[in-house]
Amino acid sequence: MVFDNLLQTVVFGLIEGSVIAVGAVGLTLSYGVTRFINFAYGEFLTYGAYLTVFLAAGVFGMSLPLPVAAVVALVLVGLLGVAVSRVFFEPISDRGALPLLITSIGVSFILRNLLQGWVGVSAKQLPIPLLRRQEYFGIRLTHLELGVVVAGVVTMLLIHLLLQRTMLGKRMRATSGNRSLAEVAGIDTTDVIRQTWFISAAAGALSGVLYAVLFAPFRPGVGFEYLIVIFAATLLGGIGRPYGAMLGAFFIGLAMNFGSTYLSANYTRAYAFIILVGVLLVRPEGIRGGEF
Amino acid sequence: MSDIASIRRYDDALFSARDVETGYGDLQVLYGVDIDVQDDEVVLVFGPNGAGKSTLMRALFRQLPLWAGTIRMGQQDFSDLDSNEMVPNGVAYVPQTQNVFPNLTVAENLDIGSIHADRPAERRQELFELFPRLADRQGQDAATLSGGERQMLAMARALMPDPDLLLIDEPSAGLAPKLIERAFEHVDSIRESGTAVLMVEQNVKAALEVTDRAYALDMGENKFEADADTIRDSEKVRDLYLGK
Repeated sequence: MVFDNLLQTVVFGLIEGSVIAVGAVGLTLSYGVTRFINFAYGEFLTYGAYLTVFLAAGVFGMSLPLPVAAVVALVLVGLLGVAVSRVFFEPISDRGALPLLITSIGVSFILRNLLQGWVGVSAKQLPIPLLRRQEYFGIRLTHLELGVVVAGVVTMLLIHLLLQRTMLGKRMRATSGNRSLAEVAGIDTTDVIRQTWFISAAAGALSGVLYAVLFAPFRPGVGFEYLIVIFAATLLGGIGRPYGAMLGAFFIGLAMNFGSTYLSANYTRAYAFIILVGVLLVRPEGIRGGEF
Repeated sequence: MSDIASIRRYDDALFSARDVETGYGDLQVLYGVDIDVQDDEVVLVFGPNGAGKSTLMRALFRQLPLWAGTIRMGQQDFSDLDSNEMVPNGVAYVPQTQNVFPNLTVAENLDIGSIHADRPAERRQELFELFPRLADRQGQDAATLSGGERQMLAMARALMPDPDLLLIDEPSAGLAPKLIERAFEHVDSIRESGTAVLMVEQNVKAALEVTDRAYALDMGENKFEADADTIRDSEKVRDLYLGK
């Protein structure tokens, strides 16, 4: 029984770790090429979840099946990411990390309040049924929870293939490693950074959708509030390092679920926050980051 | 001044910079520099520290804005190009430091070099013949290479697209003495394979061994230009730049 409980906690930790991992990888990719921490990233999660709800509910004319709605939402949020970077970040990209970071906090307020002005503060949720947990090898989980893990793992695999096997991935890594030399080598790094914004924002949106699948219902502050958890995972892995972010995410997912199960469920987010503070105290180089 | 000609201009040059002025912010570094590189030539730019040699290379490769002057290759005006448009137009550049992608493997560094290459597979083989060391290190991260290997990788990356002109900033910088001669042998082989070379170098004596013509740069201006033999035999140059 004790062992069952432990195993179940590990499984919940890995499920939530999948959501965090998708978000953390997206955040860390944009950091890797732009060298600033994007505080507006949480809004990509929020917009992903809301657009999926609206597209599925037919708010924009026709109602799409949920998976299709989610894919369309990812693309739209990816484009939103590109637009945000062109309007707000590109014009000040040569002023250093601090002005960019502060601008991103402002962008976060703008996006969040635009959404709130439009949809209000009442909670929404995805049109998914409540499912009974099935038992697989002694572990109880729903099809949806299983689906979240699969989506997380597939995303990690796709990001890995993108970075290692495709020319776009190599351009992104070259830009991350040495932007000036990437220009010298004939890479249009402005273009690479825009493509990275698309991928980063779309990953954020997917993380938001997965979050909504697991923890419905949600409000317009959902992404901003979850950002702290994603930061913790990103910094734990060393910001700018996608594989570090993946590992950090599963560690944070486990820590939050172990804390909730064995200490107190009132402090779930606080466990992530404690780790974040701990990383900054013990390994402050985690925030300086690396390249991928 | 008697034993050195003033600045000659070559109207049919492969690559020509005229009256180039540039700097950083309010600080002007170059005050009207002329450089010509002809087909299959190795051209050296030398001068004291702070003369503006590296700044000149960055300006020629369009990494710095031109305050005045023009840069042409054949009939084409390069003055308004961005640095990432130079490689597709036949000019490559090896900066002095941080000239490899540390987080990419040797093979991946060459993949980046091949973005604008017409025949990447053959080119890679040719470059592995020129730099056999790199062939043995393909899967290794560039960050783990020795200084000499890095310099080879930086050159190989730049040579992947088979450029008409290669700019090199200090090919011997940071190399052990026995590797310096090798670096200049590589410069000579690059020219033999049909790529003209414009290099900046502090180690003037060694560089002159493979150089056709040289420009002396001082205080952001050309002081003189001559062929390598004349420079070597010039008392003035010896006194001013080569040490006695």
